[in-house]
Amino acid sequence: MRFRRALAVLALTGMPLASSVSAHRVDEYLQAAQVSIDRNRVALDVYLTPGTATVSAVVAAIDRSGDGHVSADEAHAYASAVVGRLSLVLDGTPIPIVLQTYDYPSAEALAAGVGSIRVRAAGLVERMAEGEHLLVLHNGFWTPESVYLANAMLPRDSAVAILGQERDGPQTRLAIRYRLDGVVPSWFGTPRGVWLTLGAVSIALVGLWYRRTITTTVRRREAC
Amino acid sequence: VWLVSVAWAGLAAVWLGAQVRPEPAGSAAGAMTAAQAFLGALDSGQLTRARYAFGDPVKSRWHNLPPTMQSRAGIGFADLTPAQRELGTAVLRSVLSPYGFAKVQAILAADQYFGDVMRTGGGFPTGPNAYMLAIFGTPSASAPWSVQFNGHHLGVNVTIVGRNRVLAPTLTAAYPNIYQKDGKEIVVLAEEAGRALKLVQSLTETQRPQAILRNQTWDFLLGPGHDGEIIQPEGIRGSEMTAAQREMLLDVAAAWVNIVDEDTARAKMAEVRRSVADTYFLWSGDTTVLGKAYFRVQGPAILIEYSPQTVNGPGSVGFRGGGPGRGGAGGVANDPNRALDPTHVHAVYRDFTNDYGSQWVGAAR
Repeated sequence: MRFRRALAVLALTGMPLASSVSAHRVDEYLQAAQVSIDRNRVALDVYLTPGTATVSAVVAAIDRSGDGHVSADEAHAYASAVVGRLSLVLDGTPIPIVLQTYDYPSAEALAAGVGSIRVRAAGLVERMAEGEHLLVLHNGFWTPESVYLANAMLPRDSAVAILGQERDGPQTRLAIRYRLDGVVPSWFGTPRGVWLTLGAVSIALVGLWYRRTITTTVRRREAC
Repeated sequence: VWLVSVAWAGLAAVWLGAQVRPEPAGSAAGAMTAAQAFLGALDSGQLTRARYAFGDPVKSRWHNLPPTMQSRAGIGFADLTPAQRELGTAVLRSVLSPYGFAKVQAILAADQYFGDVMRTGGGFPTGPNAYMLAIFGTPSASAPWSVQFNGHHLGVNVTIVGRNRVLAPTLTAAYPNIYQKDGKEIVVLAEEAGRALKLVQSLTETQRPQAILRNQTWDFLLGPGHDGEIIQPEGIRGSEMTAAQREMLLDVAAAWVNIVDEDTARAKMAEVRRSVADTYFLWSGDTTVLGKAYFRVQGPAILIEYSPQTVNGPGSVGFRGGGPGRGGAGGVANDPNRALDPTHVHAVYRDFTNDYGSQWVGAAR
């Protein structure tokens, strides 16, 4: 695996490849969290970007065996450790978070201070009630070099509307106020939905007319 | 019956007319001819590096890094003859406005200055020949095709579908963005920040809390590798600005929109103007000094993020040993007092509704 080989080189050489580049992130470990909310699910994406002066420490934290290779287990363990330090609280109740996927960048990009490890997780929630909610993310994956960003994504689910975002100073905590509106079928409001609705209303009107006609006819016969 | 039919036909025509988007009148033929001339001048080996299928996923690998550090599409200008370089430059010129072309040239010159003057030791090739040009699809008057010009601190993507063009996503960046050369001060991507600074300084005490984030923003959010993502808009909305402030907001947007050819830019600015009430402006950082703040313009069909970098500024490795609270030895990185470097900026321009011409591509196939 190319990433493993290159990481091995970085780990063994102590990594100062890009100090001469003088062009990108250096002594920070940027952790950018993105929160996507829909009616019954919260998705978390964390992009972890070590600067050129912090990448060797990050690689060492991933390569726990110190053998210069990052095994699949070590890659999984690091992603799990990140997710293990995240917490989500919905309306005062903690919700479980599960690791879903993770990607590691090319070692060259990592070394240059622009490669991001992407960790994707999901917060498992019961079907949410309509109305306002408060979701609080806390990123507790701390290293001395870490700087943080935390942002809500524009909901893809039209039933969800973000009302506001509040962050603490370092952005390890993000509180998102949002509203869940009445859940309507996804086709509603589309041209197809309009035609279907018109069709259904027409059928219902014809049905009503037919029933009324039959009822009137029966009454007339009874009257006769 | 006839009257009703005619009335319905009239209503249908009006409705259909309202659905048709005005087409920018960019000179598609000029760009097509320039791209054909460039491709026609390449040998077969060069052609395989310069031409890709329109939908080739390598298109999304444009990056801020130098090509030697992160592979991507295209043939390097260093691998072209002077005559071929002229033709490649003509392709770029054909899809950009004079303003946009000058901006690209200024970014390349800053990169050259960085390599020649600022950098010590090895590294990567810099300057105009260190950039890559790729053509996706076959240059055509109707089928979709695109031009990508990419290298350190620059990623231009122009997609052309018939008479329509879009400049998104595009990365503009510079380091240094202000420097002295031949006794003259050269400014790259600083005037844009000046427009935004003017806007933030015009905000009233009531407006400022809406527009200004209390937190430090360390980087842009939707740079390379973030295609298809949309962040929740934040900041002050155009509808909450005065008419003069909305003009300033449009002025900021124009600094990026006007990179593309003038007809396309005019149509795009009209679109941005129509949705200015729903366009947000967010600021994070110093409101008194040029270039020491992140800002974001986000509307239904536009995103601009401008992000000074912390690298090489106080608090970075080069300044270790600096005073307390500056991230020097023993300091912490996550220090709100860390300064941003106003001479090293990254900016990204996107069109959420039409990155890579996605809006037109389906219809053209």
